[in-house]
Amino acid sequence: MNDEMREFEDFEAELQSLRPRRLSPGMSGEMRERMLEQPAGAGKPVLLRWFAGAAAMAACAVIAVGIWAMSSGPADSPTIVQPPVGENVPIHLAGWRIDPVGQADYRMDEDQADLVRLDRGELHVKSIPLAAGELRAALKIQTSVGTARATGTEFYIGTHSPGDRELKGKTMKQLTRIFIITGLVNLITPLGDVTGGAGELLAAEINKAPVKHAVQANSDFAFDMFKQLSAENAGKNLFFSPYSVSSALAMTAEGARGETAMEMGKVLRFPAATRRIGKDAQLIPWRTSLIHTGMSGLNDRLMADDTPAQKAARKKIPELRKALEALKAKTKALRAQRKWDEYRKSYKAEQAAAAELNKASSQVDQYELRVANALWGEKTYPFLDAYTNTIKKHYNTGGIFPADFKNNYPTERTKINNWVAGQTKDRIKDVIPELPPEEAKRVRLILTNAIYFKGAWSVPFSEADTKPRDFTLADGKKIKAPIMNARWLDVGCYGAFNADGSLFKTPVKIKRGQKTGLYPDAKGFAMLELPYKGDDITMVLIAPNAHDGLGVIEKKLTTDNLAAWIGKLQKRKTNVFLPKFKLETKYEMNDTLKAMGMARAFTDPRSPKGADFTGMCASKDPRHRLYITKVIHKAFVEVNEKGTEATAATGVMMAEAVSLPPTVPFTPTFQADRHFLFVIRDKQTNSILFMGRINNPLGKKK
Amino acid sequence: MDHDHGRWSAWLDEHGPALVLLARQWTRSHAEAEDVVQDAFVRFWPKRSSTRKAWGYMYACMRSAAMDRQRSDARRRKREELVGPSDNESLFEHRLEHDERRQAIEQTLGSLPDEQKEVVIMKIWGGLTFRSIGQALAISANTAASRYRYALNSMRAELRREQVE
Repeated sequence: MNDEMREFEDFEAELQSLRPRRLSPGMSGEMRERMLEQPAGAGKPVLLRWFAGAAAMAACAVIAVGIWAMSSGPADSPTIVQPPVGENVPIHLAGWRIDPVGQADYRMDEDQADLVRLDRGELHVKSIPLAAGELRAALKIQTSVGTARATGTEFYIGTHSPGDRELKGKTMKQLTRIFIITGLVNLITPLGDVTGGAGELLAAEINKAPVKHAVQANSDFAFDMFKQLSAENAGKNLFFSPYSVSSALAMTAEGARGETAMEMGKVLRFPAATRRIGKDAQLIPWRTSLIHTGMSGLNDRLMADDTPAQKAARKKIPELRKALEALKAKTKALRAQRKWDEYRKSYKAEQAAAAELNKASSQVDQYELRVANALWGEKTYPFLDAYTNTIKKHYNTGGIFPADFKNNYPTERTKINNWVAGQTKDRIKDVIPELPPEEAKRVRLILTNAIYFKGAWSVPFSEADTKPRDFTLADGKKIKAPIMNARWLDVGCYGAFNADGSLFKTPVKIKRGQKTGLYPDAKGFAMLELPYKGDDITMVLIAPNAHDGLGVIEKKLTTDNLAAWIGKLQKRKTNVFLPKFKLETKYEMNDTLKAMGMARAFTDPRSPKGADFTGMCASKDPRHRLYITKVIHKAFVEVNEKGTEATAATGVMMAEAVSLPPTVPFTPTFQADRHFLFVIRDKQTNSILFMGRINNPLGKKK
Repeated sequence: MDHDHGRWSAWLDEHGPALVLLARQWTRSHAEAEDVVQDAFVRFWPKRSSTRKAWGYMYACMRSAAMDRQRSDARRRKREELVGPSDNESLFEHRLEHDERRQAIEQTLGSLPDEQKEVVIMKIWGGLTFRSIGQALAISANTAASRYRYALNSMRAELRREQVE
């Protein structure tokens, strides 16, 4: 035995020699009396209600602490003075430990030993090692929104049910959120279920499907569309908002039936969990309510309104900025004139103005993000109420705006284009095209979506460091382009990857002069995630090591791969070179969407394999049958030293088939080339808001 | 029944002091800790099964009773804190010849994180095995053992530092 061990044991013995203070005689006497008063299991004079399943406790040989209510009233008529709400003590089940995080109302079910009810607050749930021969119970935690089911994992679950006061004010919703640390958790709601893994956040609101279905569908659709557009626009810059296209088409899909609906759902990548089963599954193949409620949740998140204080601060910022600029100019002038007393006063005023501006800036979100949807319907067309109500409810469209397409298409077109321009701060104009009079008369419905984002970089680039630098085109030619530069930027997350997508171990320290082993080989690529102020929205950049390496990466681009790569990025100081660029795109997506698999929606409804949008129309008259004539998408992006402005709009035009469908494929021309991809995403929901590829930042053909 | 009561009386005699010591982490005085133990015992009694598993049940009941007491007494406690000093009562029985050392040990025990303190009390004064402690606290026996080792080592280091000073 070494000295250390001996000392340890001596100390142990010394502690044992200390005798804790005994129970006072009166106290132990009282307890003994209690034993005599109360035979096992009896509840007088104190009533104890244990909600934990006794059988489970005995079988599992673990502690189960339930909810109790206690009274010190008369022995014969015990009254419960405390409601059976949760105590802030852990619950132990076979293989599980459940701890409240702060104040929480929770209890074990009286009849089901594996069910915990959580009414309010947050629980930390963790699987714990089992004793020999013990079986882990499959745990269920029920909230007002749904039930979380887990086996062998760790997660946090929080729920909120509004109290009476909140209900009167209608300020709070019933919602449940689960953050998964390890393993898998299944969240089951009456509108569908969703499974999440480590690092994921599952969320559901009462009467709303989990947003995850919509996010998953949107992401998968984004990559499919990117690949299709990429193939159609080889060698050109690319920029679009998959979120905008998804939204407009999801609103359209609500009215689709039969094969048309099936094709649209597949192209929009509605998850398998939203497939309908049963006798009407052929006519209505998808539970679109799941998608719409998900989209609605996503829209709520993206369209979160400012508080009055934020609104006031936002209004005040331009004035403060103007005042500060004026003071700066004055200070500079006084300094040049060597009027030192006045200079000092002016300098102090400048500092105070800057502080006030900073305060106002910190009150508002550092980025602006808006989403809007609208439906414009021919006023004489018999739209089905059920359709318009569903869209109104989930997409906040305010119903269908009546339009006179039959007699006055040009005026209606101007109205719609003005709406889009208003939503996109005049960046997107003329999304709805001019049509020949015969074609214009047949328009019955135009569905529009607009998204606008403006965010300042968390750390802006210095304009002085932007210089014309070499930019290599895909064919190896070099051009001079304005490239921004930030050295030792410490807000970004960086990662380098090998050709197979595995993480390249970027060294942390290198020997002086070392030039090998710093980056993966030519087939590898690098990624950088740059945050905008507010930290919710980021730009993810993916650049190949070789000038012609982008094609290989594009083939690997999927929701899962991108999520996995982003998950491997690490925050570290990085030297960043990024071209500043400005890009406007326009896509007529008829051929793109047909190639992706939704040809029927564009086909004359009178033909055998024609479109079926009978879910929009209240009339059985075949002359009222609709089909999509155009899907147009316009987008704008500008990336500079200060940040990013990105906006996009989608228009889906639907018409009655009176004559042959007049769609003429249109392939827009772009003066750009490709070298890197970029994605603008919402970190909170993982939604891809914008996606693009820049090869030639000067916007010229390669 | 008599046999049952006898058995539990003996158990209480043996473990009562350690339970009170354990309850002191949630309370400000010995009397209050005794109240917690009594409340807990009242909750525990109808659900008692075997003395072998008693510590786990009792520990959970004590936490529950202590939290309940904290909530209901919060207002009174605030008032008391305003008028009187906090409790400095000894945790252990006095033996004058070792009073300084006892105080130092009390102080270092008090400064341990709760999860370590609980293991030390259960092991030293409750006489529990690491396996039983693990069951009571829903941690593995290994975790209990390592918490115990860390706790005693840091107490020793602290006491040594005080001696030097």
